[in-house]
Amino acid sequence: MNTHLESQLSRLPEPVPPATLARTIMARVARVAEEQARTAAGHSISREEPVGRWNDVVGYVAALAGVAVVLTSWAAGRLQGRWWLEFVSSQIGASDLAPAVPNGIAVLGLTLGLLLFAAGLLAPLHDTEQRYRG
Amino acid sequence: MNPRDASNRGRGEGDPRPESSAPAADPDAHLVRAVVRAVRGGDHEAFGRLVERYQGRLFALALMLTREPSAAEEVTQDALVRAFTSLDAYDEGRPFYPWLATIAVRLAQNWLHRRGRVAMREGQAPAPDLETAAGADALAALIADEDGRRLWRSVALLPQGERAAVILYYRQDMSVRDIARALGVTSGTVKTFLFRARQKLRRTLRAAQQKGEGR
Repeated sequence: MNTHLESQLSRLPEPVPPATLARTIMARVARVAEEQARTAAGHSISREEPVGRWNDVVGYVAALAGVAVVLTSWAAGRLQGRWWLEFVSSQIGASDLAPAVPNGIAVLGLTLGLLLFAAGLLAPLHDTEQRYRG
Repeated sequence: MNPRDASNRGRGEGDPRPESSAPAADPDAHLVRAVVRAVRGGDHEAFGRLVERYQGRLFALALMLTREPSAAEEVTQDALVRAFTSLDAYDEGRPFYPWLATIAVRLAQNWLHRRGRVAMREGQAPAPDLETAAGADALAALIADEDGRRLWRSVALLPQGERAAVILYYRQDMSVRDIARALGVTSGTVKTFLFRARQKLRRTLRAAQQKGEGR
């Protein structure tokens, strides 16, 4: 009885799958493959990210350098300016101690610093915009 | 002594098949390896050969588990698409069909859980579709032979684990260990499923035979 039952079970009929089944599966597979290819293309863009990150670093360094130059120029301008000489003159009673210190270098430094700062500030913004667009 | 005798194999002893199928024993190994390499190389059309090869077997398994042709179609589709997307996770050293069947079994189990939840929410017991007239008609469209249909229906009326074990073991030639992995149970549980299934089927078929003789 057991052998008979088991031989019957081994001959259990296999239902016929719908005729369109294979075609439907392959259509879905093609869609998935297309998505995978698109994702892979996305990954290859993000693999270029070190370049973008390098640009960011350059930008931040430029911005910080700009701030540093502005601060230095401002400090140099203050030191080279007349206010402390005038202050000292007034304290010691000498009115012509303050020499004519040219402020041209300080102005140049300030301009350069502001330009560097602006370049640094704009560089990462430009890069982020590109990444979002991608 | 019959090696498949219930007293012996009911608890698992004397199983003539190896516990796990070796890669060399897989007749489709060459085809699978060629297709897997082609797909990994970017030729997704090559996957069509595996679809052609396994769709029938997988559909039978899904139909046996879900007992509903539309659900079986859905599960078969999802299983093969998932196999395609997870092909990188497939270990070429192992036979392909048990891996694929495991995916199909999990999807069919999910479908059955979902269906059970919906039925419970709507306050009705989920009845096996084969017991309805529409279900019988659908089965007739899929299995032409009347005797085959009767046997299929007897197996399909078994509890989920038992019917899955029967079709995977007897019809799809999977080893007990591979079936256990697919169903997420131990090998001992699979042997118990098979033992109980045989007992029930023997009773059912005997009753059907007596009914036939009584007419």
